[in-house]
Amino acid sequence: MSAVQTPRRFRIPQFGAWLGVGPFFLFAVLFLIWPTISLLVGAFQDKDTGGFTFSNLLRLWQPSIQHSYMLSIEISAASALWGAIVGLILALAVLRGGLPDWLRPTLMTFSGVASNFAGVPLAFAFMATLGRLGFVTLLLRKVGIDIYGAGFNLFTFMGLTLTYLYFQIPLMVLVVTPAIDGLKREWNEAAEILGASQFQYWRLIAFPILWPSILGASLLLFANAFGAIATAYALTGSFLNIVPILLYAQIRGDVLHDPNLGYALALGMLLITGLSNLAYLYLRARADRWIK
Amino acid sequence: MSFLTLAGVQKTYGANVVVKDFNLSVERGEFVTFLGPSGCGKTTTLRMIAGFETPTTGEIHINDKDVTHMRANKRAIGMVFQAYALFPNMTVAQNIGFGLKIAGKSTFDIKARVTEMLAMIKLPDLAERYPYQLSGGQQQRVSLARALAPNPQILLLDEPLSALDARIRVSLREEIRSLQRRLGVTTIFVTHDQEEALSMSDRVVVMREGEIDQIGSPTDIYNRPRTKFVASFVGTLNHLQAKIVDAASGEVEIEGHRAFTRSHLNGARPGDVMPMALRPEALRPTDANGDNVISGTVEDAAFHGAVIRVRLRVNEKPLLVDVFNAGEAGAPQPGQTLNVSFRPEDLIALTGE
Amino acid sequence: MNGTKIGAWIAATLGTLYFLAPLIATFEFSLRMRRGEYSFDAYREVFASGDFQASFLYSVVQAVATIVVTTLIVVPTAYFVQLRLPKLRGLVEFITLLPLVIPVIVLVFGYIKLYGSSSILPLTATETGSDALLMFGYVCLGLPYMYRSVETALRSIDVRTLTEAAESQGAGIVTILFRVILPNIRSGILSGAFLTFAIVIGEFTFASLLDRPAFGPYLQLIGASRAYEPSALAIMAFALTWACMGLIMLFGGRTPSAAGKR
Repeated sequence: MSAVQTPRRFRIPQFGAWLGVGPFFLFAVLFLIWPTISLLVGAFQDKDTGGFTFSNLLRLWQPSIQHSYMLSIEISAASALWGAIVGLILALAVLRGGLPDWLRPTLMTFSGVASNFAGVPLAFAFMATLGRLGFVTLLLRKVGIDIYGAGFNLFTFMGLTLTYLYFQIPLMVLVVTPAIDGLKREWNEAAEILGASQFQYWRLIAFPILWPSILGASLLLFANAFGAIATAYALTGSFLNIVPILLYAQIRGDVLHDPNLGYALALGMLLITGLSNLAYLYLRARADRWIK
Repeated sequence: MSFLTLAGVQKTYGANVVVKDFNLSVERGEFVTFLGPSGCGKTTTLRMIAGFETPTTGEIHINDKDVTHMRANKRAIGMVFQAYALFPNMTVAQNIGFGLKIAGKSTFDIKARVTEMLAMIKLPDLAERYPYQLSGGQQQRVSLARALAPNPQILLLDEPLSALDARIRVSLREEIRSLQRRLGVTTIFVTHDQEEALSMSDRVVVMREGEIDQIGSPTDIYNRPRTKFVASFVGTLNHLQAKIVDAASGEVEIEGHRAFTRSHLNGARPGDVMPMALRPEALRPTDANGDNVISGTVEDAAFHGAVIRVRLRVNEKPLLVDVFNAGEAGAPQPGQTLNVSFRPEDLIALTGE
Repeated sequence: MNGTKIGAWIAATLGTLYFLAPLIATFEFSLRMRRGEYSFDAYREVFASGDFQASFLYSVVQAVATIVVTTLIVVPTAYFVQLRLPKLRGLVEFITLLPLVIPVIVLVFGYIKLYGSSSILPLTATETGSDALLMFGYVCLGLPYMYRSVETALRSIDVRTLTEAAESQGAGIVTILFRVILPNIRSGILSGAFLTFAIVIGEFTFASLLDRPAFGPYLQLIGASRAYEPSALAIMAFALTWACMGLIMLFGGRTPSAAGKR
């Protein structure tokens, strides 16, 4: 690329460049930024008078809404935790476990597809698998294991978490693979020649290096699950009152028409996903700095 | 009694023979360099000594123990990698102390040893820095300290200077050598840079395509190369086709000039063509004529600082001559006729490959 | 090394089972429509259904419109930022990442508040308005991926030289963009396009809350009322997603991931 700083003689004036990016910014303001800000402002507006108030936020502290947030956080945390653990193990197994080479592109492609295969079709798929007459349910019953008899139910917290894992695990694989690739083989060899066992290498060097990436990816998974709604709606409907479902009902007008409370709910959601993503970006920057 | 022995070592990958029949005995405290172009098998051999690869056949002994199948982490060897390989999540001090920590030494001992090593590599203030905060040269010195801290029985260096700037390379070269001499640790150094090999080593092993071409001291390798490859890989060489006149007296004819050589012309018959070589610095401008003098026209004189490399044209063939820079006045001019002389012992017969 | 390898094989096998099971189960379930034997009846029912055809067509049209609009917005922006306004790069990238951070449902809510029937610009009052609003929402969802692939493609060609060469031939900016730049970043646009397509086809939240007859809400409705057709649809959805990914790999060479359809 050119490094010379002499003024270029473009026929397109600088003004033209600004005009060129205009539509993008216009679009962003109209359909991304303003709607969001308007919601945030609305969260602080009184329903009737339109004046500034904290009452909407305070009303978030009702038991039912608190319960919703707790439920959302629990499902998101559970699916993020297990998604992270399983995703990490899977990625390590395929990338560094000494398995055949063709497994890696297969895993990557599949993860790309599976992380996209969510929402309503995923709910259907899991119903066909672990529903009362599902394939796996019946298979297990033939072997003598009755999961529904033992208390399992797909349309519960556990079932939803299990379903979420179908896109959380692939997402983890995709996000954490670059970090694992970044583990130079020389570090392993250097550790070995200095007397370390494989276990010591992983404990003292590889994992500490990977840790910021793992943590960051988990946060990404958490934010991802927190905002998810289509899968939940299709699977458990309003049975599991997670925050997105609550919001959905608010918007639909299924509940007492109280939009300002809805705005407050949205603000809460945005805060949680926003902070998680920020933390993810920070951790990724730190990890990158080490592995220059 | 040799400290490190490689006997009949061979490494094959499938149908590909990467190292063929490698035999070497290294004395304790010796500095040996594996020199050769990319792909000649020098790094693979080094890695077999380290334990990262296992020989397909052959044996490796260190201090009388058969280590051929011993795991790398049990061999008490120190290694410096081309890409430094410092652990990015640890400080300089932690990196250097890593080997000792694995060995279970006390914190007090580790701290003392780390301080000692930092002083040795002359970076006493960098203990708490992280690798990404260091320059390439500093990282490599820390890497050296890390390898030496646990007092290894052998030190291996895999092209450690290739990734560094020219100036740092030269100073680090000297530092490595002086450190090695001081500690007396048996060292194997791998490089493709013949200047490094010649200036640092006690002995050089020149390798090509998995085989050893020659083992010898730097002067041996340079002045008495046994094969054409060794001669041309190490230093610059003028290749000449000489016609044998009399093998017994060493008389040959080069481009119409009579010359004598001290090299053995073993049974060559008069009229045979023998490839021979002359180093540019062995040719001296002279006013005389006669035996061991070649006459030619100056085509070009390239200024290399302390030396001027003159390209002489002799019967349409080039001949490189190095003359000392004696100021502007003494430099040969293009078009000028120049006679150069050489000693019989400088005319090398390339009897090998 | 051997212990690690065994562990790796176990992990890979278990992973494969977990991910294949729902696919096999769904496929098996979708074949159960006819009592007592396997058949493709469920698929036949689906394809024959007028609702299916209508909603699928609707979503396809929306997808194509989204891709066109996104391309028209993204390509000039990425081009000018790279060529003349490098200082804006951080801001633009931040904006393109917003749809990944803002939950879809929050975004829809914002749309309804701003463009709902009781606001200044009541887009939702008319069907066309709602359709347009939905499309703009889809553009947001596809923006991160489209921008990233276009930007990467732009970086791999020498934008400066191409522009100067075209200018010296007397080309105006529109010509440059459409006749010179666009053809050269075709692979990047196609990558982004296929991913956008996959996202739009299966999208539920936006379409449902804006009350539009898209494929996503149709899927959900079928799930609530029919037994076997949902499984057939799920298999078709998966096959479609896989096809899109395959085409992306063909044209782009990487496998991106998507959020927002959840």
